[in-house]
Formats: sequence, C-alpha cells, structure tokens
Amino acid sequence: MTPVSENPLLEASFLQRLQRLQLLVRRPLPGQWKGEHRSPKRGYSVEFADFREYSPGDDLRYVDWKAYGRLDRLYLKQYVEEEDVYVLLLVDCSRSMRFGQPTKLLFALQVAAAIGHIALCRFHRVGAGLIADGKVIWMRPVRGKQSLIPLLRFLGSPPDARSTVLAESARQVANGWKHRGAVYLLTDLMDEHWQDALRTLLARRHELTLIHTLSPQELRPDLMGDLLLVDSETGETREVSLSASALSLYQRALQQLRDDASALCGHFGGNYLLADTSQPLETFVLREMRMRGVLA
Amino acid sequence: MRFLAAWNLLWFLPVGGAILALYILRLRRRRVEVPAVLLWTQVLQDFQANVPWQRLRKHWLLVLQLLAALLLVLAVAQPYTRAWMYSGEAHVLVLDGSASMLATDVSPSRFEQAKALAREYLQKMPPGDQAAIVLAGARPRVLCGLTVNRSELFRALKSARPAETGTNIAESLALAAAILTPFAAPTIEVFTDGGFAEPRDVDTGRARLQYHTVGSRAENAGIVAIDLREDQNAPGRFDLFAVIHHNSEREQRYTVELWRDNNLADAQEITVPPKSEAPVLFRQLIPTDHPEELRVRLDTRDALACDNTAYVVLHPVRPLKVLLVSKGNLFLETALSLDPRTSVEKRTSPPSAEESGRYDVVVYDNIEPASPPAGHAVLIGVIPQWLPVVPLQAVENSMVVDWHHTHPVMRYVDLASVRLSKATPVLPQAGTETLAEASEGAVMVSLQKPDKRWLLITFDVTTTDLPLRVAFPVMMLNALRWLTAPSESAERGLIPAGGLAVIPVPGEREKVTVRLPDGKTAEVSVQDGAAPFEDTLQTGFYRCPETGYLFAVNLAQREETELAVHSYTSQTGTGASAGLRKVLARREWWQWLAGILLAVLALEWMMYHRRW
Repeated sequence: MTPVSENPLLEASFLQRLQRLQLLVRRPLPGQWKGEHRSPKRGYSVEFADFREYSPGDDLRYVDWKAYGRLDRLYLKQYVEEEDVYVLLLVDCSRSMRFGQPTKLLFALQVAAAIGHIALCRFHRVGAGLIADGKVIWMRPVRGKQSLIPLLRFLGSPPDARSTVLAESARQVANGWKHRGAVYLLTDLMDEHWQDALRTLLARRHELTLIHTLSPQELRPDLMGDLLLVDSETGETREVSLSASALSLYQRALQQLRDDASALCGHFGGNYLLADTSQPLETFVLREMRMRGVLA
Repeated sequence: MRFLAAWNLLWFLPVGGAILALYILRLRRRRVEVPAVLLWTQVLQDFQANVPWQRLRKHWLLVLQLLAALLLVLAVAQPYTRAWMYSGEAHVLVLDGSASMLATDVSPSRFEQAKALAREYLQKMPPGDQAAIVLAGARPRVLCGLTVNRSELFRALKSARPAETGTNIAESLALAAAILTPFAAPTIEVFTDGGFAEPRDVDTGRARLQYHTVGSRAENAGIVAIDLREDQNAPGRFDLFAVIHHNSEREQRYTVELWRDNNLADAQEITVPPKSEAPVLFRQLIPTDHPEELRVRLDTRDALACDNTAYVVLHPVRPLKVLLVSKGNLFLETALSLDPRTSVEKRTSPPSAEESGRYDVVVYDNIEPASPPAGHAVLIGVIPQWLPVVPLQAVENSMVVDWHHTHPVMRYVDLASVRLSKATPVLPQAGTETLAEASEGAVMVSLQKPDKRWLLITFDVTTTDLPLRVAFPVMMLNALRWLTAPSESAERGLIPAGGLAVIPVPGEREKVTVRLPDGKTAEVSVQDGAAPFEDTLQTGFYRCPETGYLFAVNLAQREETELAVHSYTSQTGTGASAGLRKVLARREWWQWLAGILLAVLALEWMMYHRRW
C-alpha cells in the first residue's frame, strides 16, 4: 500500500459542501437500519403503500376503519419502509489507472471518497473495495460521519497493482458482498472482459453506477507518426503508423466502447458517467454527477 | 532501346542503396507507453480489415521509391529509339537583331514584337517539324540549331538580344539556306521591320522565303556620319564633321551638342529639310595632352535612341621625326616638310636598325634598306626581295589607271592620268593592299603589320609627273599620317558597330581586357602583337585598361536611322511542294520517364501521408 497523494484526498471545505448532497438511488434497496431510502419492505413511514387483509395479531392502529364501515371487512393499511442503503465503492487500481495528470487513480479515489462521504452523512452503510491484480481488498461496511476518517485512510493507500482482471474481481465482489445495494465502480475499462465483469455485478441486482475514468491522453491522444506503443500493464507492444485517419479510427473505437458500456448499464437499470480527469474534481462531482442523476 | 549515356545507369547502385539505408533508418519507431493497447489493437484491426495488403504498405513505399530512383537513372541515361518519323518541314527563323529593331514605335519595341511573332509561329508549327533560329545583325549568329525540341527553341528565342548594328540580311539568308540544304521543302521565316534593301540576289535554294513585318511609321532623327579631320588651314587643330538625317516630312530644327570628356563644349542649331539631312561642323578643336572622348549628341527624343549620339576620339598631336634616305630629291623633301610639325633629317646611306628606331618614319628613296625596317617605312623606287610582292617586268610609258579612293593614303588624291615613264609593276601577295595600279600591275602597295606599316611606291617619282601635281604632297602628308597612326580609323570612331577592331598590344601579353560602353569587360586573346576584337555590338567608347588604347564605335547607318518599314513579298522556293516525308530519326524518351517519375513520387507521397 502506498499513499496515492501526500495531501488528503478531499479538502475540508469541499467535504462541507458535499454534506448538503444525497445519493440518488432509484430502485428500492433493502437496508439494515432505519434510514432515509425507500426499502422494498413495508414499514411505518408516512407514505402509504398498500392494503392487506387483517390477520390476528396485527396492530389494530393500522386497521382502516372507514373501509370496515363500508365493506364490513377488516383491512390493514401498509406504509413504505425507509432504511439505510448498502453503498459499495469499487476502485480499479491497475497500472493503467496511474496515467494522466492528475492520475486517473487519484481522481477515481477522490470521487469515491466524495460519494462515500455523502453516503455516510446520510447514514448509509459504506463499504469499499480496491481492485488490483484480480483481487479485491475490502473495507468492511461502516456507518456514520465518524467513519469518514477510516474510509479516507483506506482509499488513500491503494495497492501498487499491475493488471486489472476486472471479470475475476467482479466475481469476487459478487461472492463477497452479500448486501444488495448501490455499487459505484470507478475504472477505465481497459480490460478485454469488461462486459463480463459488468454483467456479473448487474446480475446481483445491484444498482450499478459505472464511472468511466479516462485521461485526456486517452480521450484526445496527441500522437502522430511511426510509433511503438507499449501497454503499461502487460508490456505488450504494437507498431502503429498514426495519421489523422488512424486517429479518427481510434476515436471511433473509443466511442464504441463508451456506447457499449452505457447501453449495458442502461439495460440493467444502471448508470454510466464519463469522468474526464482533466476537469476539476469539484466540477465533476457538483455539476456532472448531479446533472447525470447520481447525486441530488 | 539504346542509351546515349549508358554509364549513368550505374548511378542506380548508390541511389538505391541510399534509399534502402534511409528507409531502414526511417523505420526506427518512437517508443510511447500508453495505459493499454486495447483500443489501438482495434484500430490496427480496422486498418487490416480495410486494406488486405496493409502488411505490404511499407514495402509498397520502398518499392515506389526504388522505382522512382530507377526511373530517374533511366532518364539520366537518355534512352532513345530509332523510329520512322514524319518530317514535314524544316524552318529557319531569321530574327532581325539590328539597331532599327530597338525602335519603340510599337510597344515595347520592334524586336520584342518580332520575338512574339516568332514565338507564335513556333507554337503553331506542326509537330515533328524542325526549326532553327538565326539572329541577323552585322554578322549572323545561330541562336539555336535545327531541333524538334520546342523548349530549346523558346529558350533561345527568349535569350535573343538586338545589337546597335546594321543588318547583313543577305549573309543571314545565305546562312539559313545553308542550314536547310539537306531538306526538300524548307522555309525561311524572316521577322524584321524590313529596314534594308530587298536582297534579290541571294540564292535561298529550295527554301521558301517569307517575311513577317513588324513596326509602324515613326519619326526619327539620327547622326548618320561623323568624321574628325585635321584642319588644313590650321595644322594641329581638328574639325569635327557630322551629318544629321531625319525621316520627318516637315522641316525640323535640332540642337546638336558637342561634349568633350563629359563636359558640354559647344552646341549648334541646325535645320534639316523634310526627309533629308544636314551637315554640322565643329571647327578647330584643339587636342589636349591625352586622348579625349568626343560625343556629338542630337538633342531630341524619338523612336530610336542609339543613333542620337556619335562618338569619336581626339588624340593629342605630337611632332613627327622623319628620316629621308636619298641621294637628293627636292620634290620629296619639300613634300615631307610641308607639315610644320614634321622635322625631316636626310642622309644618303641606309640607317642601322638602332638608328632607324629613333625616327617615326624612314623614307627610302631609291636606296634599298639592308634589312627589313623595324618601324614604319616608305620605299620608293626599290622592291626588296623580302617584300610579299612579286615584281613583274619593268614597263615604260605607262599610266595609273585606278587607285584605292577610300584608303586614308589616297584621301583627296587624284591620280588620274599620272604618267609613268619607267616603272616596275608588282603582283601583290597576301597581306598587302593595292593602292594604285597601272594596266600592267600594282604600282603602289601598302603592307600592314600589327606593329608597323610600310608603303611601297614601285617607281621613281622623279621619272613621273606625279611630283608636279597637287596630289603628291597631299599623298605624302596622308602617308605620314597613316603610317604614324596605325589605327587612325578606329581612333576616329570610324569603326562601324559590329565591325572588327584591332587593338595594338605592345609587349608579350597573351590576353587583354576590353571595357565595353555598358561597363562590362571582355577578354581578348593577343595574336602577333594585336588583339582582334569583334564584339563591337554597342555604340560608344571601348577602352583597353592594360594598354590605355581607346577607340569608338558608331552606328552611322542611314538605313537604321530611317526606320523604314518594308513589307517584302514572299518568294517561292524551288523545292518540292510541302508534304510529309518519313525520316529515320532518334526519338528520346527521357521526358516520358521524367513524367512517370513525377507521378510515382506523387503516389509515394500520398501513400506515406494518407497511410492507406
């Protein structure tokens, strides 16, 4: 574990601004304790949900006496339960994420920390996993604002990994994280089997938000001429002769990747965001994520 | 296919090797680390999907470059084939490059318009026809020999420049006819203003002669004659004589200025009658102690500028020392002493070479010199064996029948009916010039060498009535002047533009330089103590800095000043009617190879930059 930055991941002033925000989780998710998010369970909130026939032992306070007067049968009013949400922050720590200025990894960890802080402020349960070399390094779920420090400490020291192996990591997440909840995956998708990984996570009926983290060098590569490209993770090389037409082919391939990822997430009710690391963190979190319905 | 320069094919080895070396160097790729090559792999797959021979792409570039090198080397080797080609006609374009073509009555000048006409003619010439270009000036000059290469012809035409000389059209046409001798139905196209007498007696052979006339009617005035002569009444002083000619139909007044060494010395107003000429005389000019440049300038602006100024050199006058070797000849002694600047010494025996070197002229009167004189000499009544003349049988009671009227010695001399009671006529050989002849042979001969001149009078003057005539002292006076001023005509500016100037060069120089009127210099080889200089195409003063020799060149030609425009009728040649005929000719292919080379280079460039 090596600190990703000498400075704290998030500034105190920024943390303060984040306190006013909340996570937008669309689907009802089961929680453990009473919270602010709609749960699939029936409970005792003020929001009416349904009727059901009375059965002995039910609390008579919830009998709908007006219906009894009209129908001469006992019906019980049911209300929506509101619980906390299990929030999982998954950050890809592979070598490819160490590109860019700031590095994609730092940017992803800062975004993860921001989401975690918002979730803790709303009394959700927040867990984290750092994906490295096909393994996941876990942080057990924590709750409450006081848990921010351990969370930041965990995110501040990512492993010095080489490759991603995203599909294998996703399988470990699916097996190791039993709570259905909101999963935030921050990765550059530089893995041949990224679709398998996403399908594995989505099959668990998590509400998946994919934050596709890319540096400007990947979004708008400034390369031309005869080059020998070296893969930072595998050391694999490719001889290319780059020209305007080759770059346009690259842009087309990149756009195809984004479209596929977005379509896959959308199909399973997930969310897709592109994070350009050249933009300021505040702009991305406070503006982009709110505009894309991840935060409110 | 054969090659004109086959050894140039060897150049392919170094050139091809260099390309291969450069190609290998160019393949060193820059190493760039990227987060992942995943997306780039897809790009390469797309490349390969689009172009099946993508792998060969770089090899294609190499192949194209080697092909370009091969084409270049082949072109340099000048491949050719022999093929039967249709040859319609051969043309010689004769471009009048005389002074009148400098006239600006048409824009920009007659010469430029003639060039434009010639260019148009070449453009319309049928393919396969050959053409040559001759520039007609004082001496005709071939600017471009017969060729089918149009660009070569256009280049020659572009480089053509007119000279401030007259036109020797007859010689130019003869040259053109000579060029066209092998052809059956050639044509000679003359681009001119027609400012010359129609050359009717020139035989152009089979060639058809056609004139293309340029120019219009333009008023012009110019100096058509100039001369500088010693005033007979004031020895040591000179009269400058010039003739102003104009072609205007109205009487015109002109100011004629005399400039001495760039200082205005005199000016005269003269009136020239319509289409006529008028003389102007600047009298009694006193020479200074150095050769002086005299310019006579006609103050007018007209179509031709180069005839408005005439040039002449005024040399300082120096006393003459004459040695008369004679047993007594009163007539001769008197005639030689007439000029007060001449001091005459007498003796009865021939001088030694050292003694004769102290005199400007040695006159041998019936006394034969022991050896050929080292300096200027007059030989009277003796015919030494070393002279290049063949003595004929002596005659009695003969008579002078003809003499060289224009020779400086014979100026103002009338030898009509001079009786010779006793004379030995001679047969002049090469290098001599006959000045007077009797019916039996030459009786007066001049001989000119670069450093000396001799005058031979084959009869004893006392046995004739010549000494009793006015002609005798005049002739002797002329003879002294001619002998002591070897290049008198040149010094007085009587060299016509385009004529030959002989520059005397004392010492052992091999080359001398001549500074032209426009400031440029030319180098001339020295032969036998003289440098023949032919490049007198500009009017003005020419100076030889090494020897200080100065001479003047003038246009002074009425035909050029007249600026007449004549349209002469075409003449049909005696050749067969124009028609195509087959000839076995050499066809060169390097132009095609050069074109393909350009296309290959363009393709290579596109492949390299577009990354197909």
